[in-house]
Amino acid sequence: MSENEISSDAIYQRSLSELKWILIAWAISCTWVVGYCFVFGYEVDPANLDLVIGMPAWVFWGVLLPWCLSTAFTIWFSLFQMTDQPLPQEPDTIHRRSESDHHVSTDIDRTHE
Amino acid sequence: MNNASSGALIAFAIYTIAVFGIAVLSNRFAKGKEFAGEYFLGSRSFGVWAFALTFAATNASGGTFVGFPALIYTHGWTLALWIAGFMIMPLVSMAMIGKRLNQIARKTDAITIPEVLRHRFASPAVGLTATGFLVFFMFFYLAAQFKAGGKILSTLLSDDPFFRRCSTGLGHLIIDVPWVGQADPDYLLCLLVFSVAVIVYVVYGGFRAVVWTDVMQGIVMFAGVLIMLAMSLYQVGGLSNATRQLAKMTPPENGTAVLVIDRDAASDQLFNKAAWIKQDGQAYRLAAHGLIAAGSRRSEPIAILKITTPEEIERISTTDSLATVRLESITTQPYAYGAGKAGVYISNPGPDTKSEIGFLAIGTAFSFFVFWPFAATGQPSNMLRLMSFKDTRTLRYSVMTVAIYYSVIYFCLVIVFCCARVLMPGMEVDPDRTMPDLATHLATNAGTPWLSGLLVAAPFAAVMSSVDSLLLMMSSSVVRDIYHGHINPKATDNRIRRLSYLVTVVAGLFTVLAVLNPPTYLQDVIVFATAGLAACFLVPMVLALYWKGMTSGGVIAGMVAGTLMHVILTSWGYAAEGKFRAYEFLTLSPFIWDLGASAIAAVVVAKCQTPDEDLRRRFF
Repeated sequence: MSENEISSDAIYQRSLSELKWILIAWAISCTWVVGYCFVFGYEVDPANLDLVIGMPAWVFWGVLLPWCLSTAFTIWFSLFQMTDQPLPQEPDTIHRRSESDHHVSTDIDRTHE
Repeated sequence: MNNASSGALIAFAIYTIAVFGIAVLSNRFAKGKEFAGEYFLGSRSFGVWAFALTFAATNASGGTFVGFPALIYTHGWTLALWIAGFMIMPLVSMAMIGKRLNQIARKTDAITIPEVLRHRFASPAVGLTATGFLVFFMFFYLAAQFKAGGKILSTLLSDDPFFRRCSTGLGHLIIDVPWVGQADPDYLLCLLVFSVAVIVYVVYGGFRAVVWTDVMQGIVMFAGVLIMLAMSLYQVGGLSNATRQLAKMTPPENGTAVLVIDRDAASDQLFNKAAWIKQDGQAYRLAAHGLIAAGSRRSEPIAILKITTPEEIERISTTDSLATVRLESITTQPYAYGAGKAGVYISNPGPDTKSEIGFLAIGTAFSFFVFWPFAATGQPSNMLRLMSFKDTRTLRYSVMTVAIYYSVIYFCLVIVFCCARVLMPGMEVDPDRTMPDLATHLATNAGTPWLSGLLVAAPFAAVMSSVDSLLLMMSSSVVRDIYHGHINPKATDNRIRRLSYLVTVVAGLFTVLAVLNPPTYLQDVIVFATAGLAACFLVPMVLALYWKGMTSGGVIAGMVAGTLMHVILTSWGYAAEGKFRAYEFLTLSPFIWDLGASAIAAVVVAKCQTPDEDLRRRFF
């Protein structure tokens, strides 16, 4: 089987797709938070203090808002993007005990997804 | 402080009784089930609330309720940026590898992380290497957490009269005992009580008891934070008022002074740490206990804190016990960044006593945004939990639950302890007491002093929920991966049971002995172990789960390279700064370099090998 061959494992395929979403979400949130705070959150002049719901404006726009959006994205992702998939049953105890490291492949036949 | 200490003692007693009750219930629940799977992984049967709260509580260690509040108090709003990586942490650390890891663990019936890797590559060498690194780092981590438990407890209980009597008695008992006699009796007493409580309930109840206590602890932490938020916002007059007050503040100055009285002391006069003296329009706080010996008028020089914000100085008055005392020979040292500068508490990079570039340079802020979510993903204790949920629906709803939980806990803590800065000046003399002192302050002002007991229960909950998980992981590594995996694969259930109990007790006692006299830099050991575990396991595990071309050689190379880079940068940091702290090359967190080294080594070595076709078919 080459690396480009399509996998037959549904959980693997779906998990890989979800991993890409998650890394993109992390990159976007990181860029927003670090970028915004770098531009607006350093050396803030206390004489011209700008507050939003009681906190410095850079905290609201640079941390709280992306935090809320990240949480909203996580909820959406968990409810609608991640899929439910049946997990495999465990091999039975007797079989596991008789299994040695060199015979890992023996329980392939016992595990069906 | 007396109220806080007594409240803490009552809270700890109730807590201990509750966790013992849970351990008994867990033990009964486990009867009739296959031992190892139940004891180390709860038979992979946990639903949404149990799974979500054990994950959340395990990650919230003592640092969350002691170290983190102290940092917020000391540096201000910049901690919102410092902790911002938690916004995406549940998604990354749970959803990125959870489903796939649980699938492979079930396929191979693995109940430990080294076992997953061993079966994934059918390689005993991979399993043994992983076990070796795991035990190595876990020992440091466990030792640091036990020490944190003892320190937090002694900090919280230090003023309770009953505790003082017990501590004094223990001090007399151990004074002539070699090695043990050198330990601080307060710390030793707390360490012993804390350790015995944790070891007993972990041994008796196993993973299920750990998870159920985590659920209780998670609820206590959540409730505690919300109550503190409401009370602190009310008492400070709203968040806008707190932020405006913070904007006027300038950092205090640390220094030394001599306590002087008008006539020779008839007997030894002891002046408590944290007492205030106001003289010549300035306000000072004792940062250590002061003693004027009998027949003398002067103390030795002691540490003091000088307040520099005029609004704070106005509110401070001299403590009664120091009414006849004045300070002489005062010397103070301003902060390296932020001295005399208003606005540093509402802005980045935040004030700092030693760093001239402030507390949170932008490179450090970026590093923490990488570190929080990915270091959490690489923690074996978190990976282990991802192997314990019963179905993918549980995972989905738990990711959501933990995301909401962390959003509330961590952001609210920033607000609460920014308010604390306004409500209680001068906590820099003992920043670790910020949490219990604020709890007492809020509860007393609200006319409900009993509430402080509930509020200070949160730090116990946090430390216990971390230590129990680590202790169980340590014993599972030895019993399952070394003894059952390599020495005696045909061991009976009874034998595994007895050995598991024995190893848990021995690992606990051995760790306690190691931290009787903890080294000064033990807090840095926590960072060393956390980052080391993630540097060792994150990249190899992710590639093992998702890359068809990964090989056993690649896994070993990834673990070795990540660990080596971590050790090299730590040694470099020690050589350069004399501290047990990794060197920040190009001002980036060493964790980023560790991950880079691990990834390069894993991919290069894997590319030089041919993956096993049978294993590919089985897992992909």
